[in-house]
Amino acid sequence: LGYIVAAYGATAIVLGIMTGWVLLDLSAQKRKLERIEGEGGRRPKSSA
Amino acid sequence: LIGLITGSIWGKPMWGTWWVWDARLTSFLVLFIMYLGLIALWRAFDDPARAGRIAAILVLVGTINIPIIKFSVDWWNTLHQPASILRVGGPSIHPSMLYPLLIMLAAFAALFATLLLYAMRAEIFRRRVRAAEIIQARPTVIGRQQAQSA
Repeated sequence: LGYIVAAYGATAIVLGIMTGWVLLDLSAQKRKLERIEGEGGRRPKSSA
Repeated sequence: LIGLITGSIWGKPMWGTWWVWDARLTSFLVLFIMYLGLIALWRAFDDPARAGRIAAILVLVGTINIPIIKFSVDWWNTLHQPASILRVGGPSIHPSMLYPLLIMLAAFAALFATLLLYAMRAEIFRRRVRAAEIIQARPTVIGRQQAQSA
């Protein structure tokens, strides 16, 4: 049964890394866009 | 990658070896290397449109490998067993293994679709970030050009 547990474990690790990578990338891009849009929104107010 | 790793883990107790350079395993490894090449190629270009065109060519070329993987066990003498699901005369796998396999196939397809949608959303945000950065940088560049010409 050792090889079954090893196969499940390897699959869980690979899927975990892949899912984490995609979700972290999504949240990072979302934060970046919010920051840029926030800066863009404040700029006209401060210059006015 | 999961197929290569779990196949190797399964191969050791069943075949007595982690890896053999037979047609199925080797063609599958080639597919994995092609995926890595595709990721590297995509990241090598700053312009997404140019990267997309070049990556599309690699994808078209790589598609040739798919039937090679499928029929490798029929065309060559391999350690890997012949086709056991899509074959003339129906699947040769026992139903106790076939149904869990099909359920997991559907589950992985659903997971792939979900991750693909999330990745597409991230890509849309990335392009919006890029566009916003260009817009933000534009007045500075124009101002610098005006200062240089003055």
